[in-house]
Amino acid sequence: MTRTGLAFLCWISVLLPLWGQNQRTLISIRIENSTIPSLLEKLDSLSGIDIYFRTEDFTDIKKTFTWKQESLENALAQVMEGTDLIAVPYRNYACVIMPRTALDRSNLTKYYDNLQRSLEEKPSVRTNVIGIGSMGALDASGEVLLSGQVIEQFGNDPIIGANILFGKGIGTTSDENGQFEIRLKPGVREIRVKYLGYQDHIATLDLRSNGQYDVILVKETINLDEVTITAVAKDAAVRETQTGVARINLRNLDKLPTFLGERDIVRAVLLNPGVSTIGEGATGFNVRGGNVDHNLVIQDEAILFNASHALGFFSTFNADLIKEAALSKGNIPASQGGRIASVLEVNLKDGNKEKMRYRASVNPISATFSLDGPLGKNSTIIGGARATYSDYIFGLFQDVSLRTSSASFYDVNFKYSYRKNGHHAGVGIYASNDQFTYGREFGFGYKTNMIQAFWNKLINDKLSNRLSVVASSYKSFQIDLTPAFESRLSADIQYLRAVNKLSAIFGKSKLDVGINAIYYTSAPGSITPQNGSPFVIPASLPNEYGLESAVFINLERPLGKYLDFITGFRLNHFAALGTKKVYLYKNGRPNEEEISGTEDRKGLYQSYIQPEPRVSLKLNLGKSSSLKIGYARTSQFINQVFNTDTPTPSSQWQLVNNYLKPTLSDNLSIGLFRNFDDDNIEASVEFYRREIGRLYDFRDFAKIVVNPHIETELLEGIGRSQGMELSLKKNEGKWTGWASYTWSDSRQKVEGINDGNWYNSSFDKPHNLSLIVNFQPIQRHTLTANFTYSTGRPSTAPLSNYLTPDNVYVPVYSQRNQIRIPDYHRLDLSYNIARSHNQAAKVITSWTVTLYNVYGRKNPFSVYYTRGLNSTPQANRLAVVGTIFPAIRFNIEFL
Amino acid sequence: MKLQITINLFLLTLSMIWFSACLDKIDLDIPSEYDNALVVQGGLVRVGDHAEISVQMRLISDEKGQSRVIRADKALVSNDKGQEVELTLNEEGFYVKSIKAGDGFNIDYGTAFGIYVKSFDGEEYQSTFKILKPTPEIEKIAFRSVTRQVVNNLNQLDSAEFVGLFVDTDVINPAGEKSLLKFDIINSYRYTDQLMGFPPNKVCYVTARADLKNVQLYDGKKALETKLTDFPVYEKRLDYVFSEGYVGTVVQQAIDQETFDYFTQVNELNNREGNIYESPAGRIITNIQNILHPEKKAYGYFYAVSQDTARIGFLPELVGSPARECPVPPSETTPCPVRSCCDCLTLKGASLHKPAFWPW
Repeated sequence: MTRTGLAFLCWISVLLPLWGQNQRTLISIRIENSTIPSLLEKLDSLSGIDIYFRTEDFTDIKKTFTWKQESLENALAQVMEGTDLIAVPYRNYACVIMPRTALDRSNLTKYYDNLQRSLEEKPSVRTNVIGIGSMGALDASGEVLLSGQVIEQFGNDPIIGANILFGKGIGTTSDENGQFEIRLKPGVREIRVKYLGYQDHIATLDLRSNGQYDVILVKETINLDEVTITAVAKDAAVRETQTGVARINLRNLDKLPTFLGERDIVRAVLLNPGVSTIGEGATGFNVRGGNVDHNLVIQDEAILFNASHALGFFSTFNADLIKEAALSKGNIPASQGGRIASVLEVNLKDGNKEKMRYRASVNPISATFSLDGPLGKNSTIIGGARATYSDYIFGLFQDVSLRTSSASFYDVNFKYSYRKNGHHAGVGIYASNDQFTYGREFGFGYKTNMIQAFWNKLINDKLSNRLSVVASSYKSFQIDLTPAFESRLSADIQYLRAVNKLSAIFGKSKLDVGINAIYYTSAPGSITPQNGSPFVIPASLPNEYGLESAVFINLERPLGKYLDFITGFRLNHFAALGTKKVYLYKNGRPNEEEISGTEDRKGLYQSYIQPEPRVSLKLNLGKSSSLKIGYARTSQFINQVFNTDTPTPSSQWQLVNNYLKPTLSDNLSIGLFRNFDDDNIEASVEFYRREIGRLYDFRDFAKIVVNPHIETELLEGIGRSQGMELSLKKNEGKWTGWASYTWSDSRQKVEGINDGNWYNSSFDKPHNLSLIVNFQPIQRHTLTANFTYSTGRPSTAPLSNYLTPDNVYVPVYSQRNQIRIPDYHRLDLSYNIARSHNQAAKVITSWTVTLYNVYGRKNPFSVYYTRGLNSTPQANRLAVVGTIFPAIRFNIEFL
Repeated sequence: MKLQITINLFLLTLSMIWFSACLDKIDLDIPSEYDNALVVQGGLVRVGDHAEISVQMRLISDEKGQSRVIRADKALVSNDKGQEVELTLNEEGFYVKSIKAGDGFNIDYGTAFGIYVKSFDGEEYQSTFKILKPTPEIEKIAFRSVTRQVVNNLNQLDSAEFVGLFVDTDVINPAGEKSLLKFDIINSYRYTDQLMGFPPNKVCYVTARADLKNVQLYDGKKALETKLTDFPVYEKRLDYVFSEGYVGTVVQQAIDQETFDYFTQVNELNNREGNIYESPAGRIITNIQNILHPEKKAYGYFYAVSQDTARIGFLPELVGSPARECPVPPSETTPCPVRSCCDCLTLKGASLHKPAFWPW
């Protein structure tokens, strides 16, 4: 109780009350110009009744009362008049001022019992007791809802499956985000949090009303056998019902040999069967033979149009900031959509709550900086920045073109989070900029600016809601530096996204329901001359607009002991919005030779509705094996436009319209998952088949640069993709590793291309192999070998030529994608000395030595064709990494 | 405060020095179906009251990856009247025939023509039938000097002198239809060979098709004009070709849409720069088919056209008196660094005989 300093008159005649005679406790007093809290304090002292109240429930309004032989009950009623509070008596010695909540009879007894318990336990006589909530805020149910998060001391990772105990038989476990919620009776309770490999956390809590309590677990110092702690449960592959899900183990990133020793989550993604990339220098990745734009890449609900920096050598994602990452291939959860092949979902951490931490890294071509820590009592921040300054290195090259080249990027991430009483809200920003030029020939660049806000609410222990809003802008360009033909081709896309997901748990089932909306503004292309080039005619296309929205529902539940089941449904809608200049054609089919006119269409001029059912079944064949079947229909309303052999980050993004319809995909997969040796060895085989409808490919001799009727360059067809993915992992022991092999076949059939026959899709790679072997002879020392192989990509190549009677050479091209460029293969080695776990040390170091591309393979980033003697076609290979790249990474921490 | 510093040292500089180049030429595996693929190409050209048929057979790619002329077992041309004429091989590897109207093979306008070729390994090829249409007449031909901006050897913008040929012509053909036009250019020029320190030797007259990267085309169907005035059909940089007298011949042909598309694609393929942004081209259209094995690809094109020609000649003084190519000083390795200066007959199309149309 608090007292205010006010002048008042009082004369008192008080009969010492017993609250059992509360109605008859008589007050005689005059109090003038007093705030209500002061009044209550006075009444408390006069009546001998303990009056409990919260000062913040009252305003500063002052009142004057004169009571003469007035009962305490009536006096309190007069004081409460005009507020939404009532005085609730308890037995003969206490009274609680609380909101006018309807206390139904079923709660009343429980409420009084719990209140008595709380009053009897006097925390003031105990030491080191942490108070949660306040007496006056006790919920009408008489119970306390305690929520919180369990995280580890270093790295701030959430701990999944920690036991939170409040005595025998009372407790809960932390979920996949490390969060927990439990209803308890108020009073003083001992909390004990346990997790294997960590010291037990024990504390005493005084539970008065709903509140938050977060737990930081400290690792045990291990002197003997090391315990392997993984951020991903070892039997996740067997237990997970969803097919085609690959959860990335972030703890292994340090051991993975990468270019320049940079930790790269996309490299880890590429180790999964069914996932491949064009190679160094290329943007994006391919899943099950799909195009790079068939993958949805998101960071905390923000859609990213580019997954890499600096010619693919750096990932878009700053590994220091990532909490978790998962790739869903084919069978995408109903809560996600908009792409037909996969979803790569990356979530960032919140800052740690303990103290500010800083990391810095510098090397001859790049620097990184990150920080995370608390900001006030309930807030944290986490942020990171990276930048390269590598242009001076190009000057060391012998080749003239390389000497005059340049490449650089920077990116900045920042996230602010606030947590209190089941609310978790925050703001995040991301900004990046990339540029690359090759000699005096060509170049490209792109930049992303993004801001997002989110609000998670734990409504109760069964219900939670997440709302997120994102605004983003992606600008890209490519430049042609040929003298007298210098030009810049730009393409931009912006979007505003809102997504809300309500999650409910009932019994062993989980239900997600939500809504998603994305408003796109696309600037498809503009070309401008550079340096006064006289031979380039400027041209620009008008903006295009579209609204993609979806409602979804996803239910996950077991069907008995042996069967688990996920069913989902997503209803997508796309509205193409004007004003749009639409070209009309004589026969209704887009043909550049048959344009009959144009029409300006305003507002919603075309819409599409795409229902997308999703289902996954898991048959539990025992503790360590399962059989999974999954089906998902997916659709895509925005596609990246490129018909070069190598997609570049500057390729434009095209929305569907009245001529270009959404691409559809039916994805079916079946897999057998089996673990051995107490989940130490994981094995799986998965078969998949995809049927793609309304697949568009460019006709021969297509003109796509700033083309106002690009639909005339595209032909509609179908696609088909099938494959087998094998995976074998060993997680523990001196020798660990991972082998994945994919056999796949990806084809297309488009009338007007290849005489209407099936042909290889642009990213068809029949064989794809990844091998990682780790040898750890002693603790903390690991030697890693990584070998990657994939079949060369298909290409349409000029094979020969002939001379016409007009003395003109005519190149003879192969059929579409009939030829293959050289196979891709590479060996990397690394040696890692991990950081010590000595808690008493003041300085901790770690080392990584990497040899990237050990045998100097010149894997092609792009193959393009020029003319040699007598115009004979000549294939040219542009390899971005053509030699061995050694690197040493030294890490030092000052604690 | 907890501070973590990562220092990434690497031996990149050494690697960069070792690094020689990341752009190099490679060979691709070519499917066997292209090993013996054939090109059948040719045309029927009506000029006045007679028609010249010319057909050639080539191998796409020999052991050196180059295309070469091969002989056919049989080559003939037929029309939609059921008539056919066998073609005979000339010394340049073409199967040719010259047919006059009334010779028993109908060459009237409106008649459709096709070719048939049989190779020595038994494969048979035929073309689709092409309808012969009349061509508009060239009303006027002119020339003039033109200054253009070009990119010099130092990759800089520079100015250079060109000589251009221009025509006035109807776009509507005698049948009243708008035409798709194709232009060929034949250069005829006088060339005197001479060695340094010696007097001029012999004089040759060189007549050859212009060495053009592109085929000159005009789409009369898309244009609003019914007449072309001062239409540029050819440009050549001012050089020795114009130094001793020059006659330019413009050949104008009216072609059909498919033939127009064929030559448009030829131009697109030849204008490709060769960089990573370039869209992959495709297989050029063909109207040649393998009769016995339709699944085997054939290449080439046959067309039937009529043509009109116009000539114009001018002396060097009218275009700025460009310098002759010969004589040239001898080099250390050869007394005749420019072979044609020793013997002008080495030039393609050279002859000691003055052409009949030569005005001087």
